[in-house]
Amino acid sequence: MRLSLDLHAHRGRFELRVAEELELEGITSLFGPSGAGKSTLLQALAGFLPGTGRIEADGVVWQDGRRFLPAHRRPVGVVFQDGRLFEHLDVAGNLDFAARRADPRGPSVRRSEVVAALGLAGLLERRVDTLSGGEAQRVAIGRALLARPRLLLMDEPLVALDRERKATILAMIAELPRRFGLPVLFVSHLVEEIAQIADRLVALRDGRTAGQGPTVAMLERLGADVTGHFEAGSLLEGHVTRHDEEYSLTGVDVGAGILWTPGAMHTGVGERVRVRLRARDVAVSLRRLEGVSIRNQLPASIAEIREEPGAYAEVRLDCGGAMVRARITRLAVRELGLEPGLAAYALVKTVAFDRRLEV
Amino acid sequence: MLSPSDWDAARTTLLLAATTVFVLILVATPLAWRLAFARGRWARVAEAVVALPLVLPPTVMGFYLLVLLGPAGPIGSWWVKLTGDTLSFSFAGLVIASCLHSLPFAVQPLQNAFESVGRRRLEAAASLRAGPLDAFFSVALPLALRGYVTAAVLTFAHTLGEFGVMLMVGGNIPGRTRVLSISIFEHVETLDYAAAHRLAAALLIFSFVVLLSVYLANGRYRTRVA
Amino acid sequence: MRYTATGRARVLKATAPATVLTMLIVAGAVLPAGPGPRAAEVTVAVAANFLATLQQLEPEFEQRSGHELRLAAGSTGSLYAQIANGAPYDVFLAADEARPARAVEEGHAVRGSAFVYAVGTLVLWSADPDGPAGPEALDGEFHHLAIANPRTAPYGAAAQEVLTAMGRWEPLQDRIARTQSVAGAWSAVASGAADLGFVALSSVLTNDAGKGRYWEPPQALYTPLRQTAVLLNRGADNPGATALLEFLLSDDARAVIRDAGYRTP
Repeated sequence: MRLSLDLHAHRGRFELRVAEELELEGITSLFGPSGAGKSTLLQALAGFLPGTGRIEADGVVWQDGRRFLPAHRRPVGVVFQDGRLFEHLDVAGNLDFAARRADPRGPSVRRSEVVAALGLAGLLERRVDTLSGGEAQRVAIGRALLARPRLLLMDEPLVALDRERKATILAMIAELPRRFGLPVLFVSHLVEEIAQIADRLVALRDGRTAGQGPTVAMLERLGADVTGHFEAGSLLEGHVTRHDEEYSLTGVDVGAGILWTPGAMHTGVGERVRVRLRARDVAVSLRRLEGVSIRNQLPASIAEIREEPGAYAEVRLDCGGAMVRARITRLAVRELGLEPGLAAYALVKTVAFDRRLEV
Repeated sequence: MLSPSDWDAARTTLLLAATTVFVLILVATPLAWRLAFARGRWARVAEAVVALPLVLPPTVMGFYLLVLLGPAGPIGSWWVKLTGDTLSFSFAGLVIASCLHSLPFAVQPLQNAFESVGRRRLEAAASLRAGPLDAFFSVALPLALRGYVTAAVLTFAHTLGEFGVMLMVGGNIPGRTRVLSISIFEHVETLDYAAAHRLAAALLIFSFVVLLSVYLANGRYRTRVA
Repeated sequence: MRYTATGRARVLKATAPATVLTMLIVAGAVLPAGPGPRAAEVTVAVAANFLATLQQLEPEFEQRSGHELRLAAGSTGSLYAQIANGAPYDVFLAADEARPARAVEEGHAVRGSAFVYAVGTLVLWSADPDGPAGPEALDGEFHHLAIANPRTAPYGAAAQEVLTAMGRWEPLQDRIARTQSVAGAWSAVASGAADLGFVALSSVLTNDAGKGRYWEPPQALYTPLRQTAVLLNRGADNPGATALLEFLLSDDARAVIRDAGYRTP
């Protein structure tokens, strides 16, 4: 779906100003810190904010200075942060509610498909207030799909869930575009979620867009000021080469070499995966090391060194095309004589890999 | 046990209460809806106006209603042109009077119920392609059912007991506007205490039974949902 | 931040005005007021139709006797029900003879103190000066006829008698609006709520708004409205009460009463 936006919304003192063309395919994430305006943008797209500017989708004007297409007439589905299931209906009733009002022009969605994709079979007779957070969100996603929207908006749907639920549901969400033929706009302020499933990323900050592009490149570009110092890192794409059953390790070929990550035993060989490295877990050495516990040593050349006020410096290493960030002390930079162009190795402790990102 | 005129009064009273509930629920629904979701000063003004019958002495209401509904009044004269009958001293006038008098008893529970349904659920309904009327009937109404029960019961009971406004606007015409509360009062005034006791006790028991059965049914509904 | 007085200081502050007020009330009750021998207050239960006339007589009486009147008006039946339940009235000015007699029989009033202070006239009144005035008004096109409730007001009972005698009571049943008192019947007609009404002649004569037309039904059609006054037990020792009753029999008072549209016996 091609979205053409020229929005201007006020919420108290907060102002959203977005003028952007978005090409939505697969999963696009709307990423930014809390208060950046992500939810406001989503509400405008859904049709809950009249008088906020212009939205055009695939040539059809949803709103402009003169007209306003109300929410119930837009081919948009919404999954809210708080689920918002109807308590006077059971799960099946909620699904029926959507199915009965489904848009005949939307992509065809079979109820059995939805139930299977989201694991809802055992929940159908249940009353809504007996569901756990994860169950409720799955029902909410299923319900939104059954209305046959042409675009699915998800507003931080996992924020109230614990880690394990998140991983499962994230995997389900990643499947949605392929399985049901509709693009998903996924809002989150958590890098891990975005990194795992989003194909493209639109960055939002203080009510304004701060760029859009493929997820890996965007995360690389955005750096610490958007992702936060603690979470600054790199995202590498690769494919699974082999599993070590005995030691429960999986080798991922990222181009410059093989990264060993723990677990992930269920991923198939050849499957494309993403691996995220936190900068603080990456060390730099001038040569390959023997007799050290660190398994992953990627040959690289130093691309850039950014010294920060205080003890640290950020070193960006080019590992055969993929960028890896390392956070080391300025003293180390000087003692090792690091400078751009120098050949070095990026050292990553296997334990450092984010188990959450097993896809 | 009860005299024929007392039975008449009972019939008139029950009919009045039932009619008032029916009309008032229809009128109060859109009003309570607007108030529940409106913001700003004018909504608060409207709320205060709706609550007026709670604090106005019945004689004040009765007086102004008589002025408005009488054949010389703005509403009354229009009614005479339309139907050839007056609004004052008529059953229709009594219905209007008791609707106005019980207005806050209907609007406030409904408003509370709609507020607890909340904007969020209605947004969810809209995102599922339910238009405003559809969302009202399929989401808001089922969730607001308790409010409707409360509104209906309060309105019914309140109408059964109203005296001052009924007397002034109704004119105590037997078979038409003579209600139970007036009958009881008349028995007291003519020192026929036995009849007053009979009627008053009957009214008390009846009201209690109505309230009790409604709250019992409501309770069962409550536990089913919980 | 404004601090409020605490503890004892606050208690004193709050009770001070209450204390002063109490003292004033006690003083007012105890200290003598007005000229002459201790001036009394007379509480009068007066039938609705006679209220205006009594109010006309009030200044004269108070000036002459030095006593003060407190008036409570209502339908005769209503007032009587209150008296039977111990209401604190000194004098009962009813619109009929029956209820004062009952008061005496049931021990609420002083035997021998009852007398007729006025004889009332029932009229059929229409506020419309061009409207029909005679008995034919009852055959005309009107929406409602107002009368006082026959069960509690003598004028209402008289109206019922007239209508029954004329054969109109049953046919007009659903057009007859009943008010609390005969004064209520008058205001129903005056305000336009009712087109016609059976009211007291005195109402028509003493109110400026009474510009309509009226008809006096023959006295033979209804029980004469012999409005009787009686001294109630509570007023037995009240010099003001007896003074009032005497005053009502005086020539000056009777003149006023006649001007108001009553007859005096």
